[in-house]
Amino acid sequence: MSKFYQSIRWRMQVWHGLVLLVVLVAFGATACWFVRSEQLNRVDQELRRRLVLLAGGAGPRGGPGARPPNPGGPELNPEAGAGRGPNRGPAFRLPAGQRGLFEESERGSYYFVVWDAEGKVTARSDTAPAMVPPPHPGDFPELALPRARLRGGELPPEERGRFGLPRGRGDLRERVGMAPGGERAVVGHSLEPENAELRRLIVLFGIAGGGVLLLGLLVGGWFSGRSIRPIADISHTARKIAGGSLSERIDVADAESELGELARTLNDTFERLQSAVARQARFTADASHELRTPTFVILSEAQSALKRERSSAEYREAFAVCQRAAQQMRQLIESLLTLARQDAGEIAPKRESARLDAMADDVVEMLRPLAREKGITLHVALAAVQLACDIQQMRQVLTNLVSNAIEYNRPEGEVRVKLASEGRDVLLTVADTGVGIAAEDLPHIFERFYRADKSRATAEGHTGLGLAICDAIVKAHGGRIEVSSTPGQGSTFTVRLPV
Amino acid sequence: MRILVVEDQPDLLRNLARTLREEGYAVDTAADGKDGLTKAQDNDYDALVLDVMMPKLDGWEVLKRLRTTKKTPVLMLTARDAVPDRIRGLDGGADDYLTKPCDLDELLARLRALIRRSAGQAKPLLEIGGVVIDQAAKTVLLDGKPVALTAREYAMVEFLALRRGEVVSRTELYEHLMDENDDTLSNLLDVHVFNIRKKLGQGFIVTRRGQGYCIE
Repeated sequence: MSKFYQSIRWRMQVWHGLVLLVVLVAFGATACWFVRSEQLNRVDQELRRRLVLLAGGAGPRGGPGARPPNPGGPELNPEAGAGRGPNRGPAFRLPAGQRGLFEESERGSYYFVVWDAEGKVTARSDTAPAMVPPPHPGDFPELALPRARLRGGELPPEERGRFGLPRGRGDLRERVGMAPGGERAVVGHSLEPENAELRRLIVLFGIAGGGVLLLGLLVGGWFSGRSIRPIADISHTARKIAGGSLSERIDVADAESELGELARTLNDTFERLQSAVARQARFTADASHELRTPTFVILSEAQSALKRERSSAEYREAFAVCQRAAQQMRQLIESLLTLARQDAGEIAPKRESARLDAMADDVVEMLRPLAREKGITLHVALAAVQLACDIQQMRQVLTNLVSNAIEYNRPEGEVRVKLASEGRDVLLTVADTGVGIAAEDLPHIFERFYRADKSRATAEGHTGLGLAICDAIVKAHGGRIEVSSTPGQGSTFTVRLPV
Repeated sequence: MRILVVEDQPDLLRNLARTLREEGYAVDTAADGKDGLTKAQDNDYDALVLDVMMPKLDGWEVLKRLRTTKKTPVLMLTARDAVPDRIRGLDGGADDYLTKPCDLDELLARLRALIRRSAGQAKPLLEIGGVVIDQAAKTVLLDGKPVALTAREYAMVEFLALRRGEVVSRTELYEHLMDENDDTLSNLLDVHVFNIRKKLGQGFIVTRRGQGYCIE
């Protein structure tokens, strides 16, 4: 079992949590930002309203929050500001009856401070903080900016240059007004209540977000656990299979899902693995079986010979027996090695252009004495055929087929070896007049160690691998080998090779 | 003791037969299952050495058919050593199972054990009065001193001793002591009995006239 923090489930949880966190934080931040700008907007509007009121009730015209000009306040207009005289009253004055606007309230208080041209405070509300620096005309370059840049663009053009943009001073939000005569006023508001509101909101978001995060992680964890459980099942089964119980299969519960498909694919793989292992085991068992008999012959012969003093003729006989057995073992081992190399793909056929008919003729001549010994007639019909092939291997195919045809023949029988071109293929047929092969044996005849007649093998030095080797070689050359047989009349082996 | 060896590998068959003969057994041979079954059914062998992979009839089939009529102890000899194969052999009526290649000495020891058990004996030493028969060493002691017996004399003593108290007919004796190729006349048995009495005491083998011989 791998460590928990390395598991897919854990990683899924972490990523899921991180994404959820980012989404929640982004959502919270956006919400806070909206609330904050809404707060500031409201405060700024309130500040402007109060400043306008202070400046004589020249309230904004039109727009939301418009209110009628205060009838109690003096008119303040550009002409009045421009023609400022000593007999005129101060430019900023709080109209009577509007004190309530600058009193303490739950929503936080607004304040104002008015300075004359010399910078002396001429009026201030009770709510004003102790230190409000008088605004300096130079500090507000935006007051000279074109109107288009002014926020709250609904101010009439004549008020241009009067009301500054909102400014922030720490927790204070202020708006500065300047009369043409040099009088200055600041209307301000402590943002403390808004900040508190925002903090409450952030805490609320934090709690709600934490809850959502926790819930999301729990649900996500449950869900990922659910969707990952099949993987755990698969790996559990795979472990059992790795442990040796090859017949185990994954229970494909959810066949339609990707995991169901994975399970099916794995099951197919296990199936093939199992049959390959079984085939391999059978092959190994067969091979060891074939090796055991000659080993036993040598062992028992030697033990028996050594049991007591023997005559030299008896020793000679014992050695002859051992020699025969050892030769059979050698032949078997060579065949096994050939097949093992072919299985491992180690000996890809070396392609050399060769006259197949000459090779066949060679092989037939080599085996003619054996045929004569058994009274078998060899008929040969070889068309001239040029083929790119591995000469050594092709000779082995020819030798195996022809010697089989001779040995599994009836006495005084016939063997026909024919070589011909057919279309783009080369066709080699080797036909005998032997006992033939039973129909139930035909499909297995090219299997390793398969013998139609179980008796022939050990007695006559056959390994049971000859046809399997032929099959492997022909397949390696891109061809195929087939057999047809009529029991009692004979068998015909056909090798088809592409030129 | 007469043993049938059924084995299709000619070199092996010859060697097994020779080895067993040298051990004092009467040995018949069969080179395939069919021949083996016929011989096993026609004779009362003391043991059967049976190969599994054989032409015509394999060892399993021979065993199956033989068991319908005979209780002959059977030792299966095969190159197949997978556990299911052994179980199949033993459950199929085999009395013992040996995988090739095995040691000849082990094969001989197992055969001795098979023959001993089938005669209802568990001890390898048979004591009859002052005579002690060591079946493993194939020797006979009289009052603690070894007695020189020929192989056939020993075989006769052992055969009768394993059936102590039973009367063994001349035919039975002849069948268990001579193999199929032995055309010795049956009155040779009298010569053996005479020699054994000379070596182990006149009363060792009792003649029951008209019935046979007996060790009491």
